[in-house]
Amino acid sequence: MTLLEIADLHISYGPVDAVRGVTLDVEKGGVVAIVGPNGAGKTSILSAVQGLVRTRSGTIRLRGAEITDWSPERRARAGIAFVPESRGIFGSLSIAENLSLAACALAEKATAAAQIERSLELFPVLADRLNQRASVLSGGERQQLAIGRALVSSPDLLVLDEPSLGLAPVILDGLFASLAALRDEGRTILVVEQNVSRAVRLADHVYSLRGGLLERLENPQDLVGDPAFRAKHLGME
Amino acid sequence: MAQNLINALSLGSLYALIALGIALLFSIMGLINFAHGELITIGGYTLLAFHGLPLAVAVALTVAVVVAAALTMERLAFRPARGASGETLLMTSFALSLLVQGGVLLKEGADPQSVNVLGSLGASVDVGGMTIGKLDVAIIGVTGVLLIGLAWFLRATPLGVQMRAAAEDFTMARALGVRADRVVATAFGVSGAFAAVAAVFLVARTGTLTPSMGLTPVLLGFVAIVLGGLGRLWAAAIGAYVLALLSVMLQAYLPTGLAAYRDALVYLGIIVILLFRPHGIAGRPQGVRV
Amino acid sequence: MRNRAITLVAGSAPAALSTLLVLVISGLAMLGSETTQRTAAQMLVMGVICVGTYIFVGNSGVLSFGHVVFVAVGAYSTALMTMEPGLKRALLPDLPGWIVDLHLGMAAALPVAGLLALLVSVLCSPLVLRLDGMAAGIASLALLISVNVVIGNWDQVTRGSQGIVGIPADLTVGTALPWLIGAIVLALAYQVSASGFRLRASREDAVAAASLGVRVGRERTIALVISAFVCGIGGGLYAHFLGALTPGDVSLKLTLLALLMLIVGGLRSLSGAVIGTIFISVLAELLRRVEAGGDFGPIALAPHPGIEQVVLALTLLFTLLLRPGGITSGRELGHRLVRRSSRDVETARTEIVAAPEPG
Repeated sequence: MTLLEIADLHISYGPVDAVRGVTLDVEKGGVVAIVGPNGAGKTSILSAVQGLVRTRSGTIRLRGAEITDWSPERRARAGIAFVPESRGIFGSLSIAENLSLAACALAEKATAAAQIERSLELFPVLADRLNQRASVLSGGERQQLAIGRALVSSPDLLVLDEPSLGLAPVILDGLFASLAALRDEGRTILVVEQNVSRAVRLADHVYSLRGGLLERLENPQDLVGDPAFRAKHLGME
Repeated sequence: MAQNLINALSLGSLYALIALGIALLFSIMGLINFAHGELITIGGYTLLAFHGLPLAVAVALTVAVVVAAALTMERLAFRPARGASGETLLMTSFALSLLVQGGVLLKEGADPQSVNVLGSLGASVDVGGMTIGKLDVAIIGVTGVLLIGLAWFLRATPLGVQMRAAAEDFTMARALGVRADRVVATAFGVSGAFAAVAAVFLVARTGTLTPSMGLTPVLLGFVAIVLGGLGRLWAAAIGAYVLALLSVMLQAYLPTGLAAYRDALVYLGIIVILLFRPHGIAGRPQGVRV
Repeated sequence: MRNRAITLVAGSAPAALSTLLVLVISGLAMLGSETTQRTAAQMLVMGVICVGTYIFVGNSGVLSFGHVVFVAVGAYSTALMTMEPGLKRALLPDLPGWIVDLHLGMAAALPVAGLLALLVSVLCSPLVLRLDGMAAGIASLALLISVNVVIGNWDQVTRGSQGIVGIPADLTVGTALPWLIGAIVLALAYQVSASGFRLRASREDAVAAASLGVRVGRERTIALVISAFVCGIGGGLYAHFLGALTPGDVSLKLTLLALLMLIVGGLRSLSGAVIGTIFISVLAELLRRVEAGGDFGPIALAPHPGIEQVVLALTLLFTLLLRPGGITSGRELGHRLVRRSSRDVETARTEIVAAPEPG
């Protein structure tokens, strides 16, 4: 079953076309990764899925229902959880409050405590510091809080923007282990990632976005070490 | 000296109610609500209309009417304009301010009207040789209760936590499922309730009503917010008390030749603060909102 | 070369058409009653003030409530220059002798008033250099209020809240018109100048413009001083329209009226400033007549003070909600004539604002 369908999506910022006709399906239980150089429009696509940017044309469907004109909060309640590149942590709120915020997207409020408990099991570092302000967290802890918070709403679709950005390699191992565990649980994940080798290992399907256009990569495993591929799809020398 | 302090506390409480009502909306949606002054005007005239009823009933009805007016403003004018620039929102609030003022002018005329809501609050008591007005005590006490109530609401209720999150990053809060309409409407409701109480105290202090009575309080509210630091909620309350203290002290100790220019000095001070300490007199840069 | 000539001709179309519009309306008004002529004169004065405010607000995109300060400087200084010396001596005995003896005609006094306003604007320039957005709005409001308090208390020069009387109230449509046309021409000249172009680019995207080397502060200051000069002249005309000045005449109310006209007409074009002034002036005059009550043919109305304000407020509100760009929606009059050259401008603008897209 297709959970998310993006069809012919166009996004412009003033005269600049960021996304030019992107079509993408995400199967339920699947993991889709998008790679590409900076400024390719990756964040724009994810923001459009959560309803944070205005699209120029095209449609977005969730479980077959068109959600293109829905507000961000309605999408959250329909089961989309977004972890932005900036993590979106509320520094003036405590860690417990950050987690509890996502509970307002839950259909059954009574399950909130259990959901928060599950996230804390996944990321135990948060459990000891529940009453501290989130602004004291380190970069890795912020990422764990952001993902843990997203899971509190028990989302059907987890949307992650550059989860590895700014994290030390040792922390990355733990992070991607957690993401792999979520995948094995059957969660649906749409992730934008610059770290191609990790993205390829995590995802079922990998797409490359360049200049606002999407291209499906066949056999991405073979391409990871290929310098020509890296130059072409990631803008790296 | 102690007399001046009580005076400053009472005045500061009044300013704090007004400043918090404005700061709440500014921190959440970037709106500088000029029409907040007209909520106070509506409160004043409502109190006049219910004059004769027991004070508690009249005050309750005033709060209800002003909250309804604030919610109506939100629904009809600010919700359609949501997401517009701060300047557009400010001009929208100016339009509402002119509209309400014109409406009051149409209905009540331009002449000042007087109303005595004080009753037994007009009396004063002697404490250790000082004469303290019962009204001052009531203003300080009620404001204290309301501030504590607001703090409790923002800390301990889910809606309060959502409002604090929205004040920090409205877009992210919405992405997590926080309903924008509910948060904004609540903020307007609280803002309206504070304006209503402020109106009661203001009318009790001055005893006069005019269609443009809201202008001075709203300007003082802005000053308090700038003093405290733009976008920081509780700093606005601190700014209000500092402003009241300054104002009482300047009134008491400024040489007569300069006393007439007191307001000019206060507003020039505001410009200097904005230029050199945009985060308030005691503030430091914090968060993204300016 | 030929291209540039076309651009110049096309670029001056809005000024030409705005001027034509003003001329036609003024001509019609001169056929009307004395009241109509007075309303038209007031409209022309507001036109100068609005065009003056537009030069800064429209081109920079920074909201200012402070421009009435320049109007106030122009109004009071013109009054002091053109009043009868004998009258000045009687009303303002503490005035320095050389000011008392000064007795200029309006035409000679207005440029001086404009220059004085310009000087004041130089003092205010740190505000536009350091502040943006809401902080700039609040600061300009604070400036307006403090200047108003000073005017209200400076008995030696302004006669405080009693106000100055006996200013020659000799303004007519004929004597006001050339100043408005001059203001329109000056505004257009700034708008098509390199500085005006750079400032408008920064209005669209300050960061991108700055990264391309536009010194936003410098361009804003240039716009501010020109704008203050025009507003100062507008103030002088205003004094000669009213014949008497009190602090209330140059307060927040006048600021709001000018902004109302600009927003309803369209904040982002010169034609908008002119059209807004005309539209609101005519509407306000009609409303004032309704408000005053009396017999209108078959209909008799009781006086209803407040109607003018209510309807004007609703006009502003509906403009903001339904047509945020105002009547002109940011376009200039005759934009079809200039489609060719405006496309050039559009292309250039795109180049300037084409910042890297996020993520």
